[in-house]
Amino acid sequence: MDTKGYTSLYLEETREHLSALISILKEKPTDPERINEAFRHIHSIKGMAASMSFEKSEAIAHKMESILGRWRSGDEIRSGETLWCVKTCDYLSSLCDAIESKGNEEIEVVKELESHIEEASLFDSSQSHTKAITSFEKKGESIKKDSNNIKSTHKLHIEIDPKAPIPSARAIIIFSLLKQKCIITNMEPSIETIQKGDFSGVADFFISTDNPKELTIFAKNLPEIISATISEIKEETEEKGRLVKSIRVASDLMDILLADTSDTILLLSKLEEEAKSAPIKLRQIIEELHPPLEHLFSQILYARLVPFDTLIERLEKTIRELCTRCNKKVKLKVEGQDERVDRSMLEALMDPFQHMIRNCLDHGIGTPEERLKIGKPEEGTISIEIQRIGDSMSISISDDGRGIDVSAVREKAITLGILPPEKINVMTDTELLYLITIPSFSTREIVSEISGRGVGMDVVRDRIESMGGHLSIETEKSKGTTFKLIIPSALTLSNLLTFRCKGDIFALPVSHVHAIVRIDENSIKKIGGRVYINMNDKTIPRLAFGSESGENAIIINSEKKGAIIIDELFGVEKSIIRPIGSILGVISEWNGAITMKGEKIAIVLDGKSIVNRYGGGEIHV
Amino acid sequence: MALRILIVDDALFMRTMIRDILSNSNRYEVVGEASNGQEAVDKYTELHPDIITMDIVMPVKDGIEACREILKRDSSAKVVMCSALGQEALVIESIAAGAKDFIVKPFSPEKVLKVLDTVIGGS
Repeated sequence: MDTKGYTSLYLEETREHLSALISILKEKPTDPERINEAFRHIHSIKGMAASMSFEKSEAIAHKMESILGRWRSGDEIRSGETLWCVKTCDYLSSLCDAIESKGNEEIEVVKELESHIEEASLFDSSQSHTKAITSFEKKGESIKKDSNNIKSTHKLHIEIDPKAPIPSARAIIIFSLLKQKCIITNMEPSIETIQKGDFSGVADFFISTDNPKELTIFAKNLPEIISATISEIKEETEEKGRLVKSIRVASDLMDILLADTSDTILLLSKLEEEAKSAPIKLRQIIEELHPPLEHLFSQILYARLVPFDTLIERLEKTIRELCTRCNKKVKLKVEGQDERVDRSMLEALMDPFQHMIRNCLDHGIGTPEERLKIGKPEEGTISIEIQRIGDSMSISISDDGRGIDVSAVREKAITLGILPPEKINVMTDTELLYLITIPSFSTREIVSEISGRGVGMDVVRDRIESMGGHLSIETEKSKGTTFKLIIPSALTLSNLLTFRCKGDIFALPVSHVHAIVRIDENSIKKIGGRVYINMNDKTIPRLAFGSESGENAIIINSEKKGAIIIDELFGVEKSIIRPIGSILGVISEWNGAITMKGEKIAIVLDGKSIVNRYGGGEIHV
Repeated sequence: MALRILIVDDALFMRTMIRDILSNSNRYEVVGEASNGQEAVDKYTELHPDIITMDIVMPVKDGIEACREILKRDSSAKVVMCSALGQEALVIESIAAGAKDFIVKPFSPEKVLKVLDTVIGGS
């Protein structure tokens, strides 16, 4: 708005007010009426200055108005306030002169003016405001909500222009106007909150109306409103049950969640490490972070668990296809398909299972004619039994077919030259059957169409062991073959003891550790060319896996005890054991790997396998 | 036919400004002015304008009191308060007393007219 034309009028009136003001101030007024007058004078000056956009004049007049406002409310006049006010009038006068001569508020004593304004802050100015609010609370009869018994049909969301000078007043006006057009059952924030000054300019009105569109248009057209949107409130269902019982989530997302959470736990460990010398409060908070994080982790692990159903369905399909192709009749019997495992494990089991089923169909179960000849039912049966045992799942896949010819295995092993014949001849059936899982072992010369390129069972074993599982095979001639798998049911956080040995870093599950002992020359004995460690009257063989000498040794917890002499002991870590790739996975003593704090990788060992391999045991396939 | 408006403010300066804004719009016709709350009530009774702009702080009787009295006599009266910055509580009190809307100095003609139009428009 072009205010230039009003300048002379402004100056005239302002100067009038100023001279009246100074007279009153010089009286050092005590009479409320005089004080009131003074208040009105400065109030008028402020209003005019604001209308003319004379900011300096408005600011200083506003400060003085606050002081006089307090005097008006009955506050005692503090020392210095009157003098300050008189000085203010002088400044205002100077500002008027500048406006008259230059057309703006540029006075020379700007700095002095600024510090003068700041001085006013020493005089507290918050009280008159509160008094006004109290009086409103008493008189605000018209600002009341309607009855609470009516149900809301809609929610009207209103946003007030951030540039609005008094948004709270605007909100209250909107409230009054809406009340005339609909029923308001609730409002957020409440009128009381808005009055107190706690208002961001955004409000939600919960209303009952038949004309939502009309109302919205009406609200949008009100002054200082930048947006008005309406949404329907759906009726709550009678039962207070959840609307959404389960959510479909992509498997990839579960993997991301797991990875992110384990990374977070790792970072927390790092933080803990760095914060060792931090103030106790910090360390306490870090400690407090552990339980919720670990809980989050286990919840995610739990969410990842899926039942075997999908896997079973696939297997049924495979069986149907193979039956058609080989002209065999086979049915699938399953028990325990409701048991749950981590989804990544289920995925990893798909191929091994497929292969084992194919094995059963190809090698195990004969044609209907063959079966009938030996008194078996035409239709063969493959049974899958899934059982939970503690933290592990026990899964067995059996067929009622021919069984594996162990002597043929023995012959093949000798022919292939896997081991010296003397060793092979003393192997038990179980040990011989294990040989089937060596790469390129197959008792059939002709590679069958279905399975048996000889690469099957070794991959199966490799997959299962890299999951942290174990495979064994049992068979009985003419009765059938059973593949038995033990796998962990969930990816769990394992407690691992980490150490360095011969330059590399390893980890052992704490449950595989019997003890850690300090050793010196006295604890080590040589008997018959082998090194033993003395511990509490027990003599434990030193395993070739470990170092030659050192200060500490780990005694492994297994039937045959063994000791690993280590170079350095790090400590215990909680971590998920991550599977190693298939090439390294054939090393049965290795159960996987973990990433330690400091991002080093530690190979996780299987205690029993280490003892068997390095303790001088006979079997090491 | 133009709407009849009464301007109430103790500063001639302000009354002049508002009058000028309104005369630029042919929707409104200034039918009277008052310089304090008592005059406002009297002029209202005499002129029965369609709408009033009322300053808050005035001698003799302030705008809130005047607003109340006017509404007592005519509950359909449309009063728009004129306020300066820092008067949030007083504006809210005015609304509680029955004022329909408010404008804050410095005025922009668009804002003033918008508020007046809205108040006249709403019943």
